[in-house]
Amino acid sequence: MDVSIVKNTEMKNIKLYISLTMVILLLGVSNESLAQNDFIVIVNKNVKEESLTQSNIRRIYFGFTTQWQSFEKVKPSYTEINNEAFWKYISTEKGKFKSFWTKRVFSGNGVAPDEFRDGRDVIDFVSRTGGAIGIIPSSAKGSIGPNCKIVSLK
Amino acid sequence: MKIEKVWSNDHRESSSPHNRSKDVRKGVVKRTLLVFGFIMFFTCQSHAQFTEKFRLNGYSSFEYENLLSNEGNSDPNGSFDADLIDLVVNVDITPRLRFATDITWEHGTATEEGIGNAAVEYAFPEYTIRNWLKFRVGKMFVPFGIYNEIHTAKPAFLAVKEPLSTNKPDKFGADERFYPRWATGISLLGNFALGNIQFEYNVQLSNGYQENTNPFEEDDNEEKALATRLLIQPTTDLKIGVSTYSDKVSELDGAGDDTGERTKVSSFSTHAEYTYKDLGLELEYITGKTNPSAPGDLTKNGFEGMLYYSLGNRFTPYVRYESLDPDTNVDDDKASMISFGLNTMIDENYFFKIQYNSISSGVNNSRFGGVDFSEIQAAVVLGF
Repeated sequence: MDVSIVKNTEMKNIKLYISLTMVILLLGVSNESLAQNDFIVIVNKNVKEESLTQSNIRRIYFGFTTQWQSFEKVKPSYTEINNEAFWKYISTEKGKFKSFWTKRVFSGNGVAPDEFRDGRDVIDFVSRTGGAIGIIPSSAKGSIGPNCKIVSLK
Repeated sequence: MKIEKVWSNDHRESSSPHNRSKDVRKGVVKRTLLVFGFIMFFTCQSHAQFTEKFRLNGYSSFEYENLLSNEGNSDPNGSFDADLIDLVVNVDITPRLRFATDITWEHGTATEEGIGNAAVEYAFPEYTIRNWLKFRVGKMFVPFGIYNEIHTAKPAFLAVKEPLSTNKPDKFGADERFYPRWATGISLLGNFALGNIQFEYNVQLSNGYQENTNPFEEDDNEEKALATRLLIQPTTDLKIGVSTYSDKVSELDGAGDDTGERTKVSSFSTHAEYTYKDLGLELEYITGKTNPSAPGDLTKNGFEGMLYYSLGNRFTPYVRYESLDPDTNVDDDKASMISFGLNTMIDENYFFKIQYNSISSGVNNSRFGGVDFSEIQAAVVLGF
């Protein structure tokens, strides 16, 4: 076989590998940036609030805010997996969040948010529970029924 | 009777015996399904309401301790200890009202044998007026420092046991603790934010500590104990706390009767908890004063500091140093301990802990008497 043909083939392969690597890297970066907004906050339809701040959400999930403006009890929930964007949003990590609640619950200082397997379970819980708030992946948006509403994040 | 009625009703409309028996079966099935449906509907409704209002949590701990030195105040036999099982119950009675209780059984409780201990750690209703204003009444933990409220909840902290110098000074050479573990009374508590800074406060008025009556049932004098704690969280990674405790305790004569004189007890502590990525640091300093009516004031000081590093949220090695001066007026009575440990998360909320302790003390320390020793402690703890 001609040496130049072999070299050309190798060069082509190298270019292909580099291109593939670039695509994978770009996909990784875009996934990372997508992850920042990859969750939706929903509440039971009876909750009056239409929008919440980052501070509001953080206070709710750390158990500092336990009542809505209407004095109805806040019942927070979230999904157990694919929730990295949410942990970042409330400036914590899953491990630290769980550790915080372990102390809180065992010391008698509150009840931990409900943890569900996936977004649909959260939607189901929020739909049937007055005062409930839930964090779901954006991909579960289509499953939101009439008993839930999306709150905007300020 | 119902079947007969069904049969008789259907009998009029059915012409053949085959159809009649078929219709009877249909009727029975319909009614059975209807009754079953009603039962399911109401059961599910009440079950959903029940599970939304009622929450059961708890924890258990199994421990091992072994003295490594030839002598020292530790377990020379390397004993296993079915340390405890605790059930924590929360009931949301109304949107404003929550009931919380923690019941514990320690060291393999068997009342017939008179071994172990069963106790109510806390039991109180909490009424929320606003997030910044809540009331509790009942038996509660005294809100003091980092550890008192979680001292039995082994899954809630890294080390095998809570620090002795600040939480069990009576096991480290002091006459008394800085404050009692529990109190019966009223608590006013809440939280609020000023800008990005989070505040939590707790003010507790209680019967306080006493020896001659059950402090959770009856106060032996008119003096009430006051415990306060303020927690400040300037950032998500830093928490600072200040706690106080004060009481006037009845002085008893030789027969156990109240002399009318009082011993003033007061304690003050400050603590900080800081995390930076996977690195964590906690510090607590506590000072306590006892002023009896007769001369003989006593001041004791305790300190603990712990540094830890979390490796992938599974392995957390830590080093902890603690020291206690049981009486600042007495020389050579201090005790200190340095601990090296590893906390391993086997599964979610299931941990294995192993810890090496090196203890040293002065000859006047009432617990250790200047005998330095080392020990190994291990625990398997579960939270749910």
